[in-house]
Amino acid sequence: MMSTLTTDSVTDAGLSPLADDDLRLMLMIRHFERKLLSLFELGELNGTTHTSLGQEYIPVAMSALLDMRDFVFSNHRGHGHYLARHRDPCGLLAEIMGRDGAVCNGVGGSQHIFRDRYLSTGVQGESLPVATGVALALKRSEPGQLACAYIGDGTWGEGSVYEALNMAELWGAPLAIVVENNGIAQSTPTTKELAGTIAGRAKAFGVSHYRTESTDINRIRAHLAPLLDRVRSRGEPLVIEFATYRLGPHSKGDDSRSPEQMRRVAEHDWYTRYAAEYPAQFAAHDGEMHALIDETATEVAARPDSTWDNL
Amino acid sequence: MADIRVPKLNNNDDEYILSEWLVGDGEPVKADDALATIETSKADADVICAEAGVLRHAIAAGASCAPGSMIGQVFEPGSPGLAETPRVARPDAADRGDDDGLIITAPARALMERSGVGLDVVRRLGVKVVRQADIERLGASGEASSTRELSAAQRAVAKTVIRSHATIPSAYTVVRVDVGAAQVEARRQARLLRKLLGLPELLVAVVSSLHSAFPLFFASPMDEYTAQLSDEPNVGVTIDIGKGLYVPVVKNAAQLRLAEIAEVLTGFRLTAASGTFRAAALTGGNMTITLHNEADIVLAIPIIQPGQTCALALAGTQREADAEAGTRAVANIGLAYDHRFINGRDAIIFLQAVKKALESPAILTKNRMPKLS
Amino acid sequence: MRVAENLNAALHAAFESNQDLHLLGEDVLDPYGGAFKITKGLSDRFPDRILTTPISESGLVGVAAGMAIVGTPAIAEIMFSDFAALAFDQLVNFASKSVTMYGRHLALPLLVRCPTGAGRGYGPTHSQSLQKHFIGAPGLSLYEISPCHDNGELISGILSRATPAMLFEDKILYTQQMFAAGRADDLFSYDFPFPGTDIARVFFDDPDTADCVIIAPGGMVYRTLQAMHDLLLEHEISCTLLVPARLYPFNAEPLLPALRKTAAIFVAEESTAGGTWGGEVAQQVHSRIWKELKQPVTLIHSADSIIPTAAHLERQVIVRDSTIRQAVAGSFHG
Repeated sequence: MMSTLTTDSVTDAGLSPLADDDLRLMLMIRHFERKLLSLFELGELNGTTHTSLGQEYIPVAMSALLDMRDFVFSNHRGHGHYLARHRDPCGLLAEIMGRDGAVCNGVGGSQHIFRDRYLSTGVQGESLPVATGVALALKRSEPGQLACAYIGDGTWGEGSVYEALNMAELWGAPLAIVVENNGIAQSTPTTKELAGTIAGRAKAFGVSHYRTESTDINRIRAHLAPLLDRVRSRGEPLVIEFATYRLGPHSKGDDSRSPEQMRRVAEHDWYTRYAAEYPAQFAAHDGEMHALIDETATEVAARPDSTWDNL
Repeated sequence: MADIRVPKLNNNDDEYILSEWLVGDGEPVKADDALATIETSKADADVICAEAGVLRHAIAAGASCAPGSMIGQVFEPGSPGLAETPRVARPDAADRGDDDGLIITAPARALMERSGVGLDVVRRLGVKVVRQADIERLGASGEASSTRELSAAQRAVAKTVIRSHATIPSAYTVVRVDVGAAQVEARRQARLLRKLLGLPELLVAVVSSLHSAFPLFFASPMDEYTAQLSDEPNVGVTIDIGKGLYVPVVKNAAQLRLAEIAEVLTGFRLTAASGTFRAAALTGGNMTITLHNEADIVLAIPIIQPGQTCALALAGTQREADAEAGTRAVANIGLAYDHRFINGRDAIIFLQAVKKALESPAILTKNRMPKLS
Repeated sequence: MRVAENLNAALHAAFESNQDLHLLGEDVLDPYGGAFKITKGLSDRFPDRILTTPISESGLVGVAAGMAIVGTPAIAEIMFSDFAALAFDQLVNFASKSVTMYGRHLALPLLVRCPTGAGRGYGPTHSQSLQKHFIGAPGLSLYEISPCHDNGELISGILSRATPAMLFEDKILYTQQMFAAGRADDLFSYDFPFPGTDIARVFFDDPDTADCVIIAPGGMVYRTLQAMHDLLLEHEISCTLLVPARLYPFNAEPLLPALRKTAAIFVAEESTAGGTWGGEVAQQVHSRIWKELKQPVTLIHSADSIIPTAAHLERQVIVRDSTIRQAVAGSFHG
């Protein structure tokens, strides 16, 4: 089922005011991600992590359009997705640090999280066929619910994406694919690894596609709400493409972009823009969320190691 | 696709045994490859492949097979008959001559053949699968049957003997030979030639030298009144070391030197000990010497082979009192002969010639000394 | 009845007893009923639960895993086990790992069925036995059909355990008969003498006095039985055959009393050489009863080669009853 393309211009004249709750959530995610990077630098974190700096508004926008009986699939860059869903920086940080109270006992770590109806996987593209299966099961047993899967632009290199799109459209799966297209996959710009367009790809399978460059949560929600209703009511897939900006490195310390590119990225950062446009509201919450994250980090770091009864 | 059939190897046997597949089931074969070894009562023969292809076994090694029966097939490579997972067909109950439920392993069958244990005894064992140990236990515990069945080899001997008695009206004459000088000469030659050499070897030499003078003794009856003469003497010699009676033939014996006769007979003895004779070695004889030269055996009446007119029997060497030397060594040599073609007088003259030659063996061996190079 | 019929009946029974069960596969709809007809009749009876898929092995296994993870049991059919390679990521990296990688046990009732094996001249990429490549994936169980094991019990057991599993189905075995009433053939019987396991035993007379033990998966049973028959009648070598339904995880412990008594142990499988299931079994046996063995476990398998298409060439690579017979006889005589 096809739909017309819609694109918002990047410089939507001014950002609309945010509800406090939305702003606090975005700030919580921002400070959480920053905290992770600084903990890594200090050598206090093991393994690796993929921060979603700059992209926090996407899952926050989506969170108002999803309910807890929808299924959410996330990927390696999923902290924002998890926090927007479960508002649980303690459990997530404990998971990343391998401490008691970790949402998956420290076994899955940053990339492999399963809680209620939230699941993240570590291999690109792997989640889409799974999400298709979940969507079909939901359509059968809980009609009106949907599966929402977050992927990136680089994910479109994997064949399983196309297998899933094909089957989702053939069988009418209520599947919303949210593409966080930040123009770069690890160190490779999208121009070097994506022939054609994501819109063209969705069209090839007869799947509806919607693209936006907006970072305004309220406007995003207004446009997406009827589209997601259609996914629920008709049982059909939808590709939602966010043109966005990855503020931080791919994981840690591995950013290959030029200063000029980084400057352009910074220009679109919602954080500086809200600070500029709504300074009072911003200040009221920014410091508080920063402190909350700091305290969470201190408290979690002091916990004993997580235990896993499999061994 | 070509059938592989068992050739008719002799006139004696109704069935043979496929003793060994020389090419595995499913293996490729070329024309003239030897595919399998068939064992008859007398000898082994190979089954030769006619056309190239892929061989499939139809019966297993150890199974019996009748002349003319199909034992396998050669397929074109890739043909439909090859498509299934190959399975070696088991010899079915009819082949093995079994009742329902009685299954006998190949080693057990072989032991049954060798020791003449019959199926009736084996059936009474009440065992589902009869193994070699079951047959061995029969022998050990003395629970042998009151009947004894002949082995395949012995059945063939029986058939020959029956035919001989039925078709050849035979008579018998004996001559006493002083073998002292022959023994001395045999020992001398044995040392000289470094070969096993005794009275049997000398007798083969003597008999073969009489071929031209006594043609009827090497002839083959064509009917009651006609005999086919032979060009040269092919002298069969009985060999039985306890693994069966064989009569291999010393071909063209008149042309052989004593050393060669000795080699041939030694070869026969080794073959009898280790394996079976090839058919070629057992055929073509026109006179037979039967050896009964064990101590204290004074007389033996040999069976005349069907297709021959006489047979000699060498009995054991005895010592008897002698007026001049005190004792002398003597042996009785008997001749069974087909009285249609040979009369008593002919037999006497022949035997006297044998005696004379054996009693002056130096002359005989001198004529056969190896040429000095 | 033929093994294929027993398997088809098992699937019908599973769909009757579980109203949520789904099956996904290529060409599974009636009247075609699947490439090997194993799913015949299912889509006529349960049309909304049998999905015919595009040619997307990875995708269809992922979809099935997604259904399973939310409690909808799913059977995925991969037309030839060779193609399971395409679904390796979904099977090994997602489904198997999901059982434990989220820090707690997750039920995931996913069964991936794969027709497997050579003997029909389908060539190198349609004839393989790839069980060995899935050994040792935590959370993934491997099963194989056999003439000894009723498929109804097998499949309902697998689904009730609710962890990802693969079921390998030898294509030649499809056409052969299930064993019944304790009899394998005119000489050999079968039973299940190891409580708490699924291991079948095929034996003649007194299994404890057998000269050797052969361990083999179900696809090898008929070939091994033929070899055992010939070994008994030609060479008086008696063998007992042990057939597990679950190949992995494999626990040798319950078999040790039987293995201790015997002179020689063999593992026979159709896999090509190298990194085989037999190696896994042998290692388990050696590590426990090495001192009591007269010789190491002997592995019997196909040659180290791709599987040729022409029948006469395929037969040179693939293990046959004669291969088994020669390996066993050679071990005793040579």
